[in-house]
Amino acid sequence: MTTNSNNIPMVRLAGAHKRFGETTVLEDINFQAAKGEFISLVGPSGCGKSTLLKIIAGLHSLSEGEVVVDGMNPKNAREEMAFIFQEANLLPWKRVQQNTELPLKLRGESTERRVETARKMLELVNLSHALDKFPWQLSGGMRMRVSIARALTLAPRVLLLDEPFGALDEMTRDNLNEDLLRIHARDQWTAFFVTHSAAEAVFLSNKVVVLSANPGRISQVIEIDLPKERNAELREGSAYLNYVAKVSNAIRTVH
Amino acid sequence: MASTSKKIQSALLPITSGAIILAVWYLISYWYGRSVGYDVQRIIIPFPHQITSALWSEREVLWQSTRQTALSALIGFVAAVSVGYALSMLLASAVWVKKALYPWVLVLQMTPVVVLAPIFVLWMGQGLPSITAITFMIGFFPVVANTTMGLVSTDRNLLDLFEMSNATKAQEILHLRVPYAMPYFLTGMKIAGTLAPIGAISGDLFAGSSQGGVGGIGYMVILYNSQLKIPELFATALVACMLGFVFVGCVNWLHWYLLKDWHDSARKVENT
Repeated sequence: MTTNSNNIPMVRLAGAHKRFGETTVLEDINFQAAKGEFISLVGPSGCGKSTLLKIIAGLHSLSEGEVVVDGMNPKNAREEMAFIFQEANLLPWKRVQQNTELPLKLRGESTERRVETARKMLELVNLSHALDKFPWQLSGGMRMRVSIARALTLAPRVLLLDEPFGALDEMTRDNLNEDLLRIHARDQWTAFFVTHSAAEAVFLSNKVVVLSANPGRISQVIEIDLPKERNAELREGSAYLNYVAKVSNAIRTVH
Repeated sequence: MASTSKKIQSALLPITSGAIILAVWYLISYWYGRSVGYDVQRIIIPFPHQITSALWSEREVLWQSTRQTALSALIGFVAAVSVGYALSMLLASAVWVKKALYPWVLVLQMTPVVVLAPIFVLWMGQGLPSITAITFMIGFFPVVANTTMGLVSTDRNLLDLFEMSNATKAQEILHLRVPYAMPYFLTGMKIAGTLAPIGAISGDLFAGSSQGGVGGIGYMVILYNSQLKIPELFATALVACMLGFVFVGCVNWLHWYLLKDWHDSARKVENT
């Protein structure tokens, strides 16, 4: 776990409220994440996990309170953030290569830089063999890998992941989790990861934030004190399993 | 092989049913001719071979008139597709624009073209301009309705993705909304393509004019009918049907060609 209380937090939420009309979705969220932290957001359906993520992204605005990303308003910090969606969210009419290049293209980067960066990122997620495929030709897991590669092309400092592996089978999900940690160890972005799975949250994070529903409030923050180097073997250890039990229990009792 | 015999079967079935229909037709014509005389039979329900020989003897006239109709249909179709597309972009550009204009587009659509046709003739006279205007009116609405639907129903997550990338409005339209709306637009185009020959022929009925005694298909329908050239009238129906097939075939091919790489409606369901 990274402890740098003297550093400026990468993401900070203070007294954050979000209301949609009459309903309060998020109430008094106070939280901060330092550079390189991997934070999972868990909680029952409708607790506002995804809304919280979209607030950090600047896709929703707060009704009250403050959200700061790297010292800026989220909308001004867009260049430092990337969002990975529930579905891979690829453009169906573009091949893998072009899909990966998209953020760079929108930013007006030169063709050479685009091609080179996209190639590199696709190599990082083991998709070098699929550059010319269309999304429909890929499995769900591969599509998600493209989505990850696309997010990484801009070298983000904050990565926001909205239940990215929820629709995948367990084995694919485990593999992608390991890949994600490998890339995180390399790039040290700050991650916010929304998930329904306690096991996934524990495996990936150094902190698990448990939200309660109606309205969404932070009910508990569980620090995961496991070695930084994590691999498949960790999943069998008792320390890991204890944390999973603890998180599952926390989710179950927040209702 | 099973697939080959299936292919033979699927070719044989329509041929067989066609032969049965022909036989029934002959029987009815024959029975009718026996009871009222073959002179009357010829102008009420001609034998199929009388129709084909009329087709042959009138081939030059019908070819010329088909070309005229095809030209009107093509111009009207292209106008409907391009004006329809431009209007859709306008309608999708802002909610208030759609609110302001769409009801009037509907009003125009709900007014039957047959009612408007005499007005067009009044304004533009007999001939090509009026006929293409009628074709345009018929094909234009499906393009607008479908394309507008496509342009405004872009996936929310994809829009968020573009917003996260700080995309400009122009980039969002060019790289997201327009390609996303492509299948919708092409569906509208297909419908317009099916309607265009019908529009051109109906246009002829109101605004047809002749050059050296030959007009468009609709004009020939009126002419043959008034001269009691009924086998020729049937032959004209045959020609109109073939024109429709060619037109729709071309438009369907375009639809398939533009979507074959990525859209479910055009590609084979097969994972590689």
